[in-house]
Amino acid sequence: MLVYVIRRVGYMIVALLALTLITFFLMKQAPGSFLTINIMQSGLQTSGHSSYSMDVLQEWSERYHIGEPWYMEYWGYLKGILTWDFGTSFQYPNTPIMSLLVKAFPISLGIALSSIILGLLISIPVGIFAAMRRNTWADSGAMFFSMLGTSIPAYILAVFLIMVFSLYLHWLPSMGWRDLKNYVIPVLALALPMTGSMSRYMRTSLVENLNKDYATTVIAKGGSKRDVIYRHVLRNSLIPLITIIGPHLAGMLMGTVMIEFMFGIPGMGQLFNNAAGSRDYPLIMVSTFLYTLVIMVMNLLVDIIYGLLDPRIRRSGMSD
Amino acid sequence: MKRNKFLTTLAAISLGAALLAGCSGNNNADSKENGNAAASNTESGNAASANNASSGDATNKEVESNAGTLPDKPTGTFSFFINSGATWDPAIWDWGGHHNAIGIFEGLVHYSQGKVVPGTATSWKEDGAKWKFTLRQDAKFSNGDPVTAEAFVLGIQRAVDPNTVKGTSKASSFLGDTHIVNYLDIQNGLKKVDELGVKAIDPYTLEIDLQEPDKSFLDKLAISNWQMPVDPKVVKLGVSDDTWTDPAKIVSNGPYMIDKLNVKTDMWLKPNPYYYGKVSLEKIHMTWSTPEIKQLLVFQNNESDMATLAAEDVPAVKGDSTLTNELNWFDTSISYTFQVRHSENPALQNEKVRQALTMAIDKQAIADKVLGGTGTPSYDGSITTWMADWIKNVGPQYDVAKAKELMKEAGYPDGKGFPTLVMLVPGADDKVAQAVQQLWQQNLGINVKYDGEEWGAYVTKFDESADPGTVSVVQNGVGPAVANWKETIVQTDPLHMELAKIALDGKAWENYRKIWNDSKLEQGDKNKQASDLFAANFSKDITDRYAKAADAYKKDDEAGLKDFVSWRMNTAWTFPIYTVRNGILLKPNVKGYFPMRMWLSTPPDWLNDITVS
Amino acid sequence: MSTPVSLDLHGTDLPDMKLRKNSLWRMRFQIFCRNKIAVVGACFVLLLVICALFAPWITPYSYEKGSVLEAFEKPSLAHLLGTDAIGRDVFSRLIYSLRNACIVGFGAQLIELTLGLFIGAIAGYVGGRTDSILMRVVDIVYGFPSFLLSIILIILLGHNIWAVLIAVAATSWVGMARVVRGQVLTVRQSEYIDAARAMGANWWQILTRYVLPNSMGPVLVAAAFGIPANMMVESGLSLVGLGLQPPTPSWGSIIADGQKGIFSYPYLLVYPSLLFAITLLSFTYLGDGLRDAFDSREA
Repeated sequence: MLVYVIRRVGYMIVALLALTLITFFLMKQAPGSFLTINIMQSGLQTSGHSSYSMDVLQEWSERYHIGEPWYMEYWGYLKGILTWDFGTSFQYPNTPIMSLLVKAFPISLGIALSSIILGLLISIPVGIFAAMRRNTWADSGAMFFSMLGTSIPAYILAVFLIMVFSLYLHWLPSMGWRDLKNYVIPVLALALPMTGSMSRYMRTSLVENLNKDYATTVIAKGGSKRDVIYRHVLRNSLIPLITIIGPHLAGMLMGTVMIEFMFGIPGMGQLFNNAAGSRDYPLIMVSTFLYTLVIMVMNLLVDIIYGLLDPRIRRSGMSD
Repeated sequence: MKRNKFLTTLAAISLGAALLAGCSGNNNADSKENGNAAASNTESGNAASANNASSGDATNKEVESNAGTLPDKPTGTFSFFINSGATWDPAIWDWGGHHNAIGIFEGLVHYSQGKVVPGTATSWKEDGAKWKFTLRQDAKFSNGDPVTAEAFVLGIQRAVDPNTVKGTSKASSFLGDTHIVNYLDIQNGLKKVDELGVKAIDPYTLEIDLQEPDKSFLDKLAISNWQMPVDPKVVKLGVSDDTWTDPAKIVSNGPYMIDKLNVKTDMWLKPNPYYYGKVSLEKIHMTWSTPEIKQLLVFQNNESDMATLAAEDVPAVKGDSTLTNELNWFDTSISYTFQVRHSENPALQNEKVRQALTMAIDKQAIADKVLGGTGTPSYDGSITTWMADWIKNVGPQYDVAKAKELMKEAGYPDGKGFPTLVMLVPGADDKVAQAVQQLWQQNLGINVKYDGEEWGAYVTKFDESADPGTVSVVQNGVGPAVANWKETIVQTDPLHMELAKIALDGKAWENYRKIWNDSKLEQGDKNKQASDLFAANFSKDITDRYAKAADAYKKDDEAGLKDFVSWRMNTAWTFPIYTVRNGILLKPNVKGYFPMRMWLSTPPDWLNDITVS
Repeated sequence: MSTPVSLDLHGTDLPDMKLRKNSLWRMRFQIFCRNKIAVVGACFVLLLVICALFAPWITPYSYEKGSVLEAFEKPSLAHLLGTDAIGRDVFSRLIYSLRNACIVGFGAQLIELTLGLFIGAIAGYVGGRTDSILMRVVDIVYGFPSFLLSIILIILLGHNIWAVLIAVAATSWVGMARVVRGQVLTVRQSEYIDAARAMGANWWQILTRYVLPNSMGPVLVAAAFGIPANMMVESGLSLVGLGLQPPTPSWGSIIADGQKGIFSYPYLLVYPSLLFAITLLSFTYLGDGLRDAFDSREA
């Protein structure tokens, strides 16, 4: 087990290095530079120079080797990452990148995790319910409603949720970022669309396991369906569900831009999208790096849990 | 065609950059006038130019503040949406400067109910290019220190001093629109900052020397952030340290001070206990607006006392009698335009073609139908109809038959033989641009290609020449610097002659771009080389016209100026489509909200005029 | 890679195998037909594809022509779903948008399936170092700033439907690869795989004949969800100017337009969303039916 984890960490470091290199090239390939965008955005075309003073430009070109060969420039960013000294970004030159991320990341992670947990809390019972009444109207009904959630994009669902919970019931604020209450609508808006696919996976996987020999044996011996599901099948059925949590989490950390903008949430989606849109190279590099780091660590954890849940995989998948 | 920097920024951001986030940035608006908001077009047309305070003959005048009666004690909370701010240092160019100008700081003068009114200065004298301001003696900073002429000198010197922004990596808030004696030499490091034409004659008298008389000086002052006083005990000159502007410890002199800031989300203001006058509101809640926020919902949920309508929400509001009563229409000065992009293909060099393109656009239909009234037809990028109503009639009018005729005369009957016209548009699915595309294709029979680009790509392509073989127009947001049409005309510096730049032929433009993108050149050399290149390549007709207009401006020859405007519009180098008009919902208990029309989002022009009952 | 023994096996069994294969497919079809709701789903998907193919004959108006004077008209006999901001017939645009939706939805899913099955199956079955390396590739793609990748792909390939298709598929295949790998990991431990191995089948045969068909359930479910999801990703791209160039209609941007006008023109949101919901459901039930059909234990 330990050897396995260590090896995985080793691969991870190589992958992260490769990732920074690819990100670097992608970002340099994207048209437009931070300064041209800054000039345009500040309406400074007529004066022709950006709103950034020469000294700061000088500092940047020293730190990031701007105008030098690509490997020097890449080294400028890599050095910052390797020494864990991220410096400041182009957009917010007075604030260290680290403190930007320290503010934004927990918010996004909080929203992402709570949405996924909420999604699971809804999907698992719905999945069990449907699987137990397989091919009945209850099954189709449950699946139909969970699918309905999936077919509505989060940004449309959010509007309906605001109308219901804020406008009619007056329970929750419609936007802003002050206390726990502000979490509820965004989390719901993100969780509900997930339940369709999640409960589907849950049901599918339960049904498959119920068809397996060990389950039929238990039933043949007189065990009830409920017994079989809770005592035997459920654990095995959670495995495919865990595999899809990884992608969901990855998507939710940076992909919830629409929701973040709609509710004024200062999360990673906003931060990264603005960084990419304004070609803020240091912030793109660092946030991509840290984001991937978190995703890879999460994947590692998921794989370990996966192994713990399924002894067959632990036996082979990890030992070699 | 002077571009005001603040405005273009605003326009650019909400017409373009915000689209990155994913939603089309139609925080524009339109409307019929509603009583309580006091923003009727006719009234504002005269009042907003505010030149009754500064124009021409009189040299000595005092203007009384006309704000309504304020309660004895600050009462109530006012919540509204505004563009976000990042720093509140008055010497630094940032959106926070807008917040400063409406009541966190108080300058010599400020806007109130659309007019320039005394701020900390109680009266002023204009003597040619010299201005003398008498300051009130009871003004204090939020820490109790007095606001003296020294504080103003320090504030303005910091804004001009290049050292102030060295460590902050932003531009100074003094953009050079106002020509204070020696400002340019100081900015270029040739002179010391104490040689700036700003002096404290005694603790309560301030003198500002301009290079030449400036009729719109007070207007420019009232909208600017650089005129704010800073406490000499807190702020130092010549150092790049803006830590004093941290929201927790900033020292300001306006009626309100920063109470709490949630980065990237919102900010709370509270009354400045040392403010000399009455303060109307107990709390102000400013929420940073994004195009994605459904402001209508937030307003209906009583979490905001103000909401700017998206074009799509107008019919819903009009169908609701309560909301209809709360709706006010505020004009802005920002116009959505297209301008000719440089291309090797000379098809758009033909004036007849450009006029035909203008005549084929049904601006009224776009404003009414596509924008639901959140825009009014625009005829000239820098002169809006609310500034000068006659502007409607002097340029090319919507006339499809005549447009077809002109295309025929230019050698493109029914659009045959005309190269593909590419429309470069920032970001998303821009419905106005598509409407224009549709009108051009259907009315003129030409082939129009829509090129919507991600913001960074759009910015890069903006200055590039179009693909050879095609002609192209590019979308842009423009607006005047002051709300007085005469002031929008004078432009003698070749670097700022936008029209002449647009009209440059493709080859000269590429030469200019080479100079501009040469990283080895110093800014001064760049300006010099570019100026020379322009002087050699600008069309003589255009430069002559500009010279004549400058002459007419000096003589205050209105007919001459109108003649210039009419010529400019008929050259049709730009295609103004609509002027943004904001449909703003205000709760009925909110009084005294007068829109700052020079800003795209039309925030209130002075927070302390607002009362909440 | 195959041993001479297995080649031999293959050769002698060929006619017999073919027969078995045919009957297998027929049986799968029969199982599929037993699930009525899956058949309905399949019919609807078929209907969508037909609409997409024959859009010019079905639609009453052009998708790009219109008049601003007729903007935002309510649904009527002349305009079944009303008109949009610049007076274009929404029904016609919706039908035309199916073409692009199908290309992006199916096309990207095909790429995802191919890459996902290939990489996921090899990683899961071969295991060991190969698995580690392939999964690290997957991790890297996960971490990609997909926004940047989309910008660059679309700039490089030009603003067209194929560029959008590739931009959509470029990062989404990794999810499929993980699902496939997870499935294969589970299946390859089964007794019948051991039995097949004992009978001398080589790894390729085991993979294609036993492991993959038995892993198909979740994979098909994932694919059925993936197609409509791809259609929505396109809308996200078009919102930031990376999607299809207007006036080309895109399903996603029609729905996004509907969201903007939710208070004033609810019908602009309801009908396209409803169609999307039905499409999603159809794909889901279709996926269900396929999964049942491929489930060897039932077969």
